[in-house]
Amino acid sequence: MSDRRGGVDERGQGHTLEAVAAAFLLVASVSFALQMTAVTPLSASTSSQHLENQLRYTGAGVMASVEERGGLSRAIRYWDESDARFHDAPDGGYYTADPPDNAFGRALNRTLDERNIAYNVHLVYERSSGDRAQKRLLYRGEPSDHAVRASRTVTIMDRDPLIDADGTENGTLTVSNASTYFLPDADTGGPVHNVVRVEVVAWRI
Amino acid sequence: MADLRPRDERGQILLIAAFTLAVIFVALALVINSAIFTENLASQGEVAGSSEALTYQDQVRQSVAEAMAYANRYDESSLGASVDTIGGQSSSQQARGGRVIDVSLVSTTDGTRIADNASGGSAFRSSGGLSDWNLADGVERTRNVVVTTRHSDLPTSGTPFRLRANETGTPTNVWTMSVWEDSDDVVVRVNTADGDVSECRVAVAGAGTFQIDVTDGVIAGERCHALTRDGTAGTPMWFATGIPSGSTYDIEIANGDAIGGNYSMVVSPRGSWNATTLTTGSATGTPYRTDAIYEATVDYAFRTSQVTYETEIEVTPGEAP
Repeated sequence: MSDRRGGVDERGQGHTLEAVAAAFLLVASVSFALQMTAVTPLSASTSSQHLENQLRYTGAGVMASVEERGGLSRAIRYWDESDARFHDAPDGGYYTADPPDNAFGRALNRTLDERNIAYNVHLVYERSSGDRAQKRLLYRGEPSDHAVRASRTVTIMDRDPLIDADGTENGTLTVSNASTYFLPDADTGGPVHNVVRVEVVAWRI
Repeated sequence: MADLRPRDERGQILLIAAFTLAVIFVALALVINSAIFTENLASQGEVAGSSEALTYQDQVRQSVAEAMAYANRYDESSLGASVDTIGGQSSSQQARGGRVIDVSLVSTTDGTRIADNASGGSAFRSSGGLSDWNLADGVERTRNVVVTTRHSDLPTSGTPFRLRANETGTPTNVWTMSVWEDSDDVVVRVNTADGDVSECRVAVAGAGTFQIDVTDGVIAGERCHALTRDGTAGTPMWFATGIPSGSTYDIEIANGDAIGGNYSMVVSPRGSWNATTLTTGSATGTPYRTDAIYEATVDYAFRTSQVTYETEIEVTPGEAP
């Protein structure tokens, strides 16, 4: 009886070890399998590609529809000459909380803000030396891993007027004769002032 | 003893089962992942990126239209230089994304800009003071017909302002736009040469000026189906609808006394203006004509490692379809 009982005890330990090893294998393989799939719509993975595509097309669509009426060009020229920044922009020189009060800003607000999408807007342009420069029009922080970018190119001519805070064209100030305007003349002597690439970087929050 | 042996064996079976399950899970994960990857590729529409070529073509068209407006306003010879700069800067910007873009001016079509932009607005009379008169004869194409006015300058329904396109030689074949105001509404009625009639009303608030963009079919920023395509019947209504293609037309104003404001348009060919009713250059207070570019043709090439696309783009901003 004592022999038999002792043998049973040893086998019990062996079984326990085997069970632990099996459980470990099971848990490890399940967690490995879970990593392969997307769990939430917010996690950056290949399976949320649809949503990213949608977001990219939305961004491109907003810019295309605004530029159809020249709104993108006007948003770039929405400049406060005396304060040397965009109209009503905070001290940093670019918008943060609220988008600008013009057609582009309102379209962004209607399309993206109301769907809990955060976005940054950058203006990329060239200096006359040929260097590339970037200016923030609107900045809401570092984009997440699944941010998408849409861009559109806008041409600004030498005699295009600056836009006043109320959205009307300034009678005297143009992009060329305003002293504080950020956009340099990339084509000195030519009729084109600069070619600006407007980039909207958007991500879900 | 006999009942203990199977327990020994069961431990091995459990281990083997665990291994098998693990392998199955890994295999399943691979299958799911490949399904997701397939879905990902499928959701991208087209992988080669040919839609970018078309998107960018639209942006080039808009940039050239900007340059054309500048050339027509300030310096007609500047268009070539502008297109070169636009092409150069676009290509250096796109080169970052692995795309090569080439834009160059091929040719331009001459036209004439007809306008009356007296500051503060004036009645739409000819330079000789006529209220019913011809702006241009023998016109083939017209673009950017824009009327700027305000409520206090609009006529009532009794004497509406009329803009007509009459087929040259067949004056009964006529497209007519009538404009009047009805309290806060601006009413536009269009009769085409095909016999269709359509009317649209747009409420315009305030006493300030607003634009009636005739060729784009937009009144104070709102679509007017009577100038584009009839909302219910779907028939075309835009500028000069019904004038047979290939024949020319005259552009006339009737009841020009009744309305006030500014207007402008670009017509082709150059020389179709009316020499007696228009003055040359930008004389103030009277309608005038200046030389303008009607159409620009640019060559556009787009190349990536997967796509090569080349076409000629005709840029005529504000031309009715």
